[in-house]
This record gives sequence, C-alpha cells and structure tokens, in this order.
Amino acid sequence: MIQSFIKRLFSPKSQELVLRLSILALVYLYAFSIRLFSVLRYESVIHEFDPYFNYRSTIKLVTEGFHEFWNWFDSDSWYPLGRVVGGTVYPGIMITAAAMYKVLTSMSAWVQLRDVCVFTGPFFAGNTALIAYLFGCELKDRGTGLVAAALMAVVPGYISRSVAGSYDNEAVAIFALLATFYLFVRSVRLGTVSSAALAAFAYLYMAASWGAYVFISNLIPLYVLVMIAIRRYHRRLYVAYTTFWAIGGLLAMQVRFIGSNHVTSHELLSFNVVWLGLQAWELLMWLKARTTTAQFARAIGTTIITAVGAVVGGVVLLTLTGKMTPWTGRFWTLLDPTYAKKYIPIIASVSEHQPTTWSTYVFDVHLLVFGAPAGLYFCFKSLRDSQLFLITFALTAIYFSGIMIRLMLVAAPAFVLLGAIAVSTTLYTYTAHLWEVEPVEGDAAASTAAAAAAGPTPVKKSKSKSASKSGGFAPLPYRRETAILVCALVMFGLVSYSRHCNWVTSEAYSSPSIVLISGWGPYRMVLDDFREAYYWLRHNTAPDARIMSWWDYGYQITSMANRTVIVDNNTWNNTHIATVGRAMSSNESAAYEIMRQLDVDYVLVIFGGLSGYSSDDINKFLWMVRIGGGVYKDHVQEKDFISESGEYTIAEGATPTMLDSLMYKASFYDFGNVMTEQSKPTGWDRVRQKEIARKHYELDHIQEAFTSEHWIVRIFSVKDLANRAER
Amino acid sequence: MSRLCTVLVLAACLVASAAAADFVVENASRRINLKNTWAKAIDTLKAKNTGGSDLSNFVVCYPESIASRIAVLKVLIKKEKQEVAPLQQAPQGAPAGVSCYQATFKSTVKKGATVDLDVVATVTGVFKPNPAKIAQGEKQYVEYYDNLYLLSPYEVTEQSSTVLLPTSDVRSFSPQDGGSKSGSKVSYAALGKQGPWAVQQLKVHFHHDKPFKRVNSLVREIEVSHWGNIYVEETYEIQNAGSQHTGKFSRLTYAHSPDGKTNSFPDVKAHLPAAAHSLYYKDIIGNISSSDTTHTSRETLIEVRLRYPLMGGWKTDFTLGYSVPLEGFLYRRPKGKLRLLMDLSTSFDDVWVEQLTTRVVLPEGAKHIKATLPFADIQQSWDKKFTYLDTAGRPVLVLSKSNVVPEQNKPFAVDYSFTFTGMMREPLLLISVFAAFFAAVALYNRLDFTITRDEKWQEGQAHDKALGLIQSLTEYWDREADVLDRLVRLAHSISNRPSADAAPASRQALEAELRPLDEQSKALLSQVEALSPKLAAAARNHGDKSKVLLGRAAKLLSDKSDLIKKDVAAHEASAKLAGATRQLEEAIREWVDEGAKLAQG
Repeated sequence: MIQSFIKRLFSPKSQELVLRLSILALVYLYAFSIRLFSVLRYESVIHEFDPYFNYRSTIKLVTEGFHEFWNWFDSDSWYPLGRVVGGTVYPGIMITAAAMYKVLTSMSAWVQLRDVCVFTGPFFAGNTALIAYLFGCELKDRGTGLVAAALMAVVPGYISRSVAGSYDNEAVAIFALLATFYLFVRSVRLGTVSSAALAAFAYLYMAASWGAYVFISNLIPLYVLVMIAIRRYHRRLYVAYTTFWAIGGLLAMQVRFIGSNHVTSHELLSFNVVWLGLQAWELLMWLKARTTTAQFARAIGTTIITAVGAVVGGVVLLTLTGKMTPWTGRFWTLLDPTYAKKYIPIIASVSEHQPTTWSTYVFDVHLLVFGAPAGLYFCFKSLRDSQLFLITFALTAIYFSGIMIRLMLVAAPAFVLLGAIAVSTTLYTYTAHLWEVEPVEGDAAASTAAAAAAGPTPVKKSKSKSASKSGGFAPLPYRRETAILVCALVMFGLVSYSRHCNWVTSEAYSSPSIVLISGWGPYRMVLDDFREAYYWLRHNTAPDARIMSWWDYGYQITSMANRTVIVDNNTWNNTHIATVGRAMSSNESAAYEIMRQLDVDYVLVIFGGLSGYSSDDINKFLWMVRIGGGVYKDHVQEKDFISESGEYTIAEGATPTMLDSLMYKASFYDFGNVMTEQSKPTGWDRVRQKEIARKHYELDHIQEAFTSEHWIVRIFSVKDLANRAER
Repeated sequence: MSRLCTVLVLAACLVASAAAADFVVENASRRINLKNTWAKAIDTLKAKNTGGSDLSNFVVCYPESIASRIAVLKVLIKKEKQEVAPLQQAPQGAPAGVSCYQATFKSTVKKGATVDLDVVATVTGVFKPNPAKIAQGEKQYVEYYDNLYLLSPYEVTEQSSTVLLPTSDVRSFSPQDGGSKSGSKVSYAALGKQGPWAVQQLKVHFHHDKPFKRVNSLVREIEVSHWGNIYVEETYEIQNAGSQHTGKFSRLTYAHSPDGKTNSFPDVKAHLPAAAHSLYYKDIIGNISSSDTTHTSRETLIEVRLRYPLMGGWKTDFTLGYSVPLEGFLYRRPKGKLRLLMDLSTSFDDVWVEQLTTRVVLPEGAKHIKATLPFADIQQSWDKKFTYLDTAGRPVLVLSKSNVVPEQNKPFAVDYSFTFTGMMREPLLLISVFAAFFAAVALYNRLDFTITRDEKWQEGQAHDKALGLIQSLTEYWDREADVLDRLVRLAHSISNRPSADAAPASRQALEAELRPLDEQSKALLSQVEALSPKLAAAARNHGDKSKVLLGRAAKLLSDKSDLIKKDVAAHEASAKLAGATRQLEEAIREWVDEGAKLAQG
C-alpha cells in the first residue's frame, strides 16, 4: 500500500499537480506581497480620496448593521441637501470587507476594521490571479493559465488600484469582471444552466461593486452578435446567454443604485434587445423546422420587418415618454472622447478621465503591449469560442482604455490574457525544439528525410525552392539555436516585465497621497499635513461645523475629520459644486454672502506654495472657475482670471479678479512675509516658481483658524456678522 | 469661589469656639508651591497634645474646592507616612464647605508631648484662568484660591504662609495686609494666633508660564502573553487646560516667534522601560509620523509629538503602544504562582490624568487572580477579552482611578496561577482544527453524495464536453487540411525533371508533419471516446477520411511527376490533371466544413 502510495506520489501526474499548485501559491503570494510596498514604505492606512468614503461606509455597515446602511441618508455631506447614500452607492466592497471583518472577529481574531479594509485590495488581487489562471485554462491550456496568473498578479495597470490601502471599488470589481467573463465563457463551452447561473452571480457581484458592470452587459451581447455574424451560433450559446440574462438581470436589479435602470436604461438596451433577438431567432428556427421552405420564405420577410420595427418603435416611444433613460454623459464620453470637455467640465477636470498616452500603456502593461498583438494573432489562428470572446473583450477594452486613463484597469486583464497566450504559445512551440536531436552536420542542415531521398546537390536546390513555395515544410536550419534564442528573449522579456512591475509599484503606485514622504534615511521628510489638519477639525471644532472645500477633499474631511462638508467626491449635484466654485472665485464679500447662505463655518484650502506640493487648489483653481462659470455665467468668467498676456498666473500681471478672489486670499494669506527659498524674495511660490503679486492684506470676513505645519492645509473660520454699529 | 469663601467666613464666625481641642498647633508653616501645573501645599506643623489622654488621631482639613481636587494627601512624621482616611463628616463646629481627613499615627502621642508633622497635599486643576480666553502670543494669567490660615479644628498659636509662584509677574494678591511679594514669592510671615477654623480667603493672580497638560482620559491595557511578551497599549485624550485660545491661529507667528507658544505645547515626553520595543504611536486615522525615541541603559525616552500643537483649550487623542519582555515584569512565586509587576499609570512628564483605567489582560486560563494595589481608592472590576484563538475569553482585571499625578505612577502587583497546559491550549487547538479539516476533506473525497443518477442528463453533459473536445480536434484537422493543400500545391508546382525527382522526398517530409498531428488527435479522440462513443466514432470516421484524401493527393503528385518525367510539358500536364486537382481541392474543403459542423454538434 505504501509502495503504491509512493508510486502515486512520484507519478508525473502528481508531480505536475504539486508543481502547478506551488506555482499558483507563489503567484498568489507574489500578488499579495507586491502590493504591500505602500504599507512598508508608509503605513497601513487608507489611500487617497474615494477609499475614504468606502471606509466610512464600511464603518457604518459594521457598527450599525446592514439595514441602517441600506437606508442611509447622509446628512454630513452635501449640506444642506444631504445624500441618499444607501441608494447611490455600489455596496460591493463595503459588504465584502464587512463580511471579512465579521468572519475574522467571530473567529476571535483581534483585527481592526481599518486593516481589513487596507488589505482587501491585495487579497482580491490574489483572487484575481487565480481567476486569470482559470480563464487561461479555459482559453487554451493550463500552461497559459499559469502564465496568465503570473502576469495578472503583477500587471501595473491593476496594481495601481489594488495596492494595500487602495480600498476602492475597482479592487474587487476586476475580480468580479474576470470571474463573470470566465464563468460565461465556460458556460458557453458547456452549455449548462448551472455555470451560466454562476456567471450571473459573479455579475451581481460586479454590479454591486462598480459602475463598469455596464461593460459586461454590453460586451456579452456584442459577443453573441459576433458569434452569430461569423456563423458560430449554437444552442449552448443560447442557453448560456438566456440564463445569464434572466438571472443576472434580476440579481443586478437588487442593487438599489441600479434598480429598474437595468431594464429601462439605454445603456443596457443591447443586453435586453439581444435577448429578444435570440428568442425571435429560436422561434424562427422552430417554425422553419415545422414548415416548408416556401411557406417559411413567405413568412420570414414580413415577420422580421415587423419585429425590428416594433422594437425600435417601442424603444423610441418609451424614451420619448420618459420611461427609458437615454445615455448619460459618462457613457457618451466613451463614444465621443471630446464630449466631456465640451459639456461636462466636472468629468473632464478629473485627471483619471483624461485620454491615455502611449507612455501610459508601456508604463501600465509594459511587455504586454507587444504580447497582445501576438496573442491576438494566435487567437485568430486557432479560433475557438473562448478565444473569440477574448478577442471581442480585448478589442473593446483596449479601445476604451484609449479614451480614459482610468479604463486601463479594464484593459489590463485583456492585455494579460492575450499576452499569456502569446508567451505560452511561443514557449510551447520553441521549447519542443530545445531538446531535439540535431543532425550531426549542422551546415548541411538537410532534414533526415530529404537526405535519405537523393543526391546532395539537387536536393539542396529543390529543397530551398520548394520551401520558398510551399511555406517551408522542411525543417529550418539552426532550429535548436533559434529555439534557445527565442526562449531567452521571452525569458528576458518576462524578467524585465517583473522588474518593471516591481519598480512601478514601489515608486509610482504605493503613495497613499495623504502622507507625503521625500528623501531617504536621515534626510527623510514626512509631510503629514492633511491628517494634522483633519484631526484638528475633528477635535477642535463644533461637532456640527460645516466645512467648505473643493470637492476633492470632501470624502477625506467627512471621514477623517468627521465634519459636515458642502460638496464631496460623489459630484452628483453639479450646481452645488458650481456654487462652491463660485464662492472660491468671488471676492471676499460676495463669497461671504454665499458662505452665510450655506451656513459655512470653515473654509479649507490646500496650498503648496511653501512645501512645493503641486496638486494644490491654486493649480485646480481654473477648474473651479470653469465649473462655477458653467452654471453662473454672469458671475464667474474664465477670462477674468487670465492675465493680459494670456497666462493663468498669480504673479506679477495677475488680474484684479484673481487677486481679490477668496481662493487667492485664503491661499496666500500671510505668505508675503515668508521666505521660502534662499536668494528669492519673500512670498516666493515654490510650485509656480513665481513671486506672488499681492502680499500684504488682511481678511475681512474670515480669519485663519488653523494652518498645518507645512502650510499645505489652511483652514479659515467664517466670522459671524459684525454687531450693528451703535448710533 | 468667592461666594463659597463668604459662606466659609460666616460659618467660621458662628462656630469658631466650638472645636475639639485635643491638640494645639504651636507652629504652622504653610508653603504652597504653584510652580508646577498643579499645586502642592506643604504644611509643616508642630502639634502639642494638650488633651487628657494619649492621642493617635490628627485631623487635617481643606476647603471643599481644594479637597475635591486632591490627588495625593500625605501625613508624614519624620518622613514616615501615616495612614490617612477621609472623614465622612466634618468634625463638630466645622464651617460648611470643609472636608477633613483623619490621620492615624503609628505610635500614639503621649499626653503633653509634641509631634512634628508634615502634611503634603497635591492638588490638580485648581488654577482658574483669568482672563479665560487669550489670543495667540498673549500671556496666560491664572488665579489660585486657598485659605490663608491653616484650616484646622485645632487652635494655632503661630503660623506663616508662603506662596511660591512660577514667575515674578503677579497681577494681584489678597489680602494685601501682612503679605509681601519678593521675586516669585508671596509670603505672609507672621499671621499670629488664631482659634480653630480660622478662615480668610487667599487669592493670587499671577502669570503661569507652563502649559497645562491635562489627560482627560487614559486607558492602559496590559496584555500578558506567556510566549514571552507583555503588550502595553495606552490610549490618551489630552487637552490644554490653560486659558482658552481665541481669535486667529497664525502658523507664521507660531513658527517664527518663541513668544507665540506661551501656553501651548507641541509634545509630551514619556519614560518607558529600557526593554521596551516595537513602539507605535497612532490615532484612529493612522500613524502619527512625528516622534523621536532615545534608548539609554535605564530607560527609553520617547518624545511624543502631537499631530498639532495644542493651544489653550485644544485637545487631541492618540494611542501609544509598546512591548516589554517577561523578564523583569513577571516573576515566579512559590507554589507555581506568578506575579506581574507593572506601573499603574502613565510615564509622561508633567501631565495629570483625570480618569485612569488600567486593564490587565491575563492569559486564558489564569486562576486565583489577586491584585496588590498601591492606593486605596482604586476601584476593581472584571471583564473578559477575546483575542486570537480564545474560546473562554481572557480574564481582565480593570483598575480605575481618577485624578492621578505622575508621583502616583507606582508599581502594582497581580498574583495569579497559570499552568503549562494552559499555555499549550491554543497551539493544540490550532493543530486539531487543521487536522479536523484535512480529515474532513479526506473523508469527503472518499464519499459519494449522489442521490440519483440522471442518465440522460449525464449523457447530455458528456455530449457537450465531447463537443468541446472535438472543437479542439478541429484545430488538428485544420492543420491536416493545410498539409493536404500544400501537397496539392506541390503537385501543381512540379514543372521540370529535378523537381519531379525531389517530389517523393518532399511528400515524405509533409507526411512526417502529419504524424505528430495524428498522435495528438488520437489522444484527444480517446478522451472523446470515454465521453461519447457515438461522437468519437463520427470523429474517427471523419479523421479517417483524411487518409483517403492523403492517398488521392499522393496519387495526384505521382501522376504529375510521372507525366513530367515522360517529358510532357508542364502546362499540358497541369491541364490534364486539372479536373482531378479541382475535385481534390473541393473534397478537402468539404472535409474541413464537415469537421466544423461536427464540432458544432
């Protein structure tokens, strides 16, 4: 028995299993640990902006329960409007983290909710790598799966949103996206209801996590259409799609933010219409089987025209009566990249909504930029249903990634899968030659078969001729050397890919952006101004104090300072944001009026002039002007902030409107007395590298309440109305 | 305060004469030290027993306003501490608003003998800022109220009072009579003879140059792990209890003028044990990146810089944590008992703590827990804590005390018993859980949970799977078709004798390419066979057709070569064989389409 056990243990099959499992375990570990740079360099802290909202919601969910969370009306943001958070949130990541936290605490583990949230990203990155493995297996074979898992684990495009602390929707959404695709492709192959239902559940998770679920529900119909177009449509596809449509649609409608939009929105029109089309097609097929060709031919023309007409007419009618909602601005932006710039400055103002540059592709997917076309080639070469899906997915995702930097995230898995196919196919092809027995006479390079056939001279000639004509059926010379060379090249590519990923992760994607660190060792400088100021707000202002700041900092303030904000990163109400933009760009007394109306107690501005922190409010100011001017055309105009020489400047030559604006006065208050750099005059702005134009002034309606150590955050309290002068 | 004093004065007049007169204080010298941020009143008394018997009790009294804020009260005879307990009721004749304590001497004072006493009271939070609010850069002035005389049930023959101040900047002091100010000292040298309960309000209004660091609440958690570590975590809420800051806070002024910092403070310093390691300093929004530690052989000095400087009235909170090894803190006692020896309170300099809670978390399974505490007014209660792998919870001894000054940071001891088996409990738990998991998986793999077998469904499943495999097979068929095509093209390309001679070799090379394809497709076919014999048969049948096609292609090739060898012109030969070529090409196409159809089911 023991012998047979040992035999089984050392059989090639067991060894392959052990090898495969250990590779997967290492990949998982790698995916997890590469994302810990941020914790090691900085600390276990929530990053950036949106994650703070997610964190705050998770706290709410954990402390007050699901019911409260579902019905949450948040009066601490969008004062005085408030926000129906329960109905405008994708709760996937919060529920995930809360569930993990509950499970851990129920097992009496002593963990903090913050740490659970911080490590959600890396944890899901590992899961995504595993899904990539399964997808790779589905696409081609296990080798491809392993390569896909390894590439997915470290692809920088995904790391950017899933490092430890980046507690954002995308961290779990990419997992859900890939899982849905994988399960759907699997169900297309198997044609079983169960795997299509599983895909629907993965779709629910995606829909509960990220707005890009619309991508899935448009891509899958597109895939179905492509399959029909190239005559690959089969019954299994029908089963998979209808099941997915029915269950997935119902499930997605359970997310409050989506609700009946899943049926009525134009964004999901293709999802529903393709389903209708499939039913019609099957009906036709059923009829065809039961009628004669002549009868069928007579019926079909009118039927198709009436059906299409009915659908189009119905959609138009429903849209006109307001029963269906047309495409939103964000969706239009995807089809027309210039749309946002023209009509919705608030979308265009976000840096991650800018078009992608070529360097970003190399930065975010590196080797896979070259791997993907090769992968596409291999996919086309042996076209299977799953590979056709990948082609559809990759082409659309790559197109979208060109429109918005943010959508690199969706393209990254496509790049990875294509790259995995390219790498594994290449390696398969060439490793076969690595151990090949080489003919002794290398130079003659005649194949054994040819050498046996006839005399040397004519054979050589004919061989080269026929090779050129019939596409080289005879083995090429230097096969082993070529194989070694190609394998070495691929290895070099992979090694440099992993080095690049490490470097990118540690240098570019691990900064939490609320703590700034510069320098190394004893010269290390920590700028912790954001938290300093937020914590000051938390402890030294009235609990119901209302803070006005640009919307970027809304989530951070409500979360870290626990105070009410006027606008935040949700940006659901453009007018409200424009009001804040208008207040910031008005002169002090006009701004005071607005602030009184909004019950503002404190104004918070971010200022980098002293520390050299470049993404401060003065640099964002033009957007505030534009957004404010978009709504209040009579009050705020961009041209008032542009100097005569056509510059946007705060230095000599700045316009009076600029110098009088609340933003200027708050940012540069007292700054005229500060010497920031040697051999430069006082009031030298280190970000703009200019001397400010207006130095000594006092504030009438606001006063400095707090300024952080390096002046990055400046908080001003809004004074009460002055007492009426006595007569 | 002043109202209270008026009441005191009135009451004192009424009952001045009616006091117990066992002792007579012959000489009382009061020194009220206000240099620190809390007051320390040292009364040096010389008392004579004038009663009719030996006495062992002595009563000391304070105005209620002070008594309620006393952190430490010590009565010393020759530097030896005597037992002090608060009296529930003030002695007869005491004016209203007076609290008294009774000291019990270790040795009685004989009739007619005198005794030298030192009464030391440490009082926190008795400075009243006036003005209550100051702007940044303004000086902080505070008022201190006390009784000018020794508040005592005994007659006092001779007494003096001295107030030591932190600065010489005194705005006012009252009463003016008999008092004199020299430097940072206000003294009343000869206050003369007074009866019992002599009351007169003393008020000093002066500049206090130290920031008032008040810890509103401190929760210390000491967790003992017998695996070699003691975790200490302290959560503070700290506030500047001095004059309130008002108006603007200018960072520029704060940074550039030392005066800008008068009553504010940016940091606190702690003296941790020398063995302390794994320090952390954070609050609920993350680490606080600014602190400095210095290790010496005696202690670990940590300079805790707060997130922001605390101006008057501002507050913040933070958590400071560290670990110490068991050595030096946990001792073995006889009968298998253990003794944990830790400090009770904070090790911060010059702060006082309003509410202290010290939680001692002992390992799960610790029994016979008993605490030995340095102060009588510490309240004890019990709690339970669940952390990693706990099943029953760890016993937590909760000690709470209010109004604690640094001098009260005394060690306390907790004795308990804990066995080796208790220590092994958690690793064993872990091992058994994993063992159970593996056993469950092993069992699961050996069991069959199928309720019924649905043959039709299984067949359908197998059919679908087989179709998937056949789809992969088509790949090989496509490649075979490719080879066949190349054979046809080869036949077409033969135009002269040498190429005709070479044709067989080329054909063999092409056929050699087919061999691995054949093998691979055979492997796939056998997989299909296992799933669906019907489909496998169809696929095999289809595969075999390629052999026929290959034969036809070979024939075409040899026909062409023969014709060329017979010196027929190339174009004539091609024309002759054109029909056969076209038919063969069509057959190949058909074959490929058939394969695709087969894969579609």
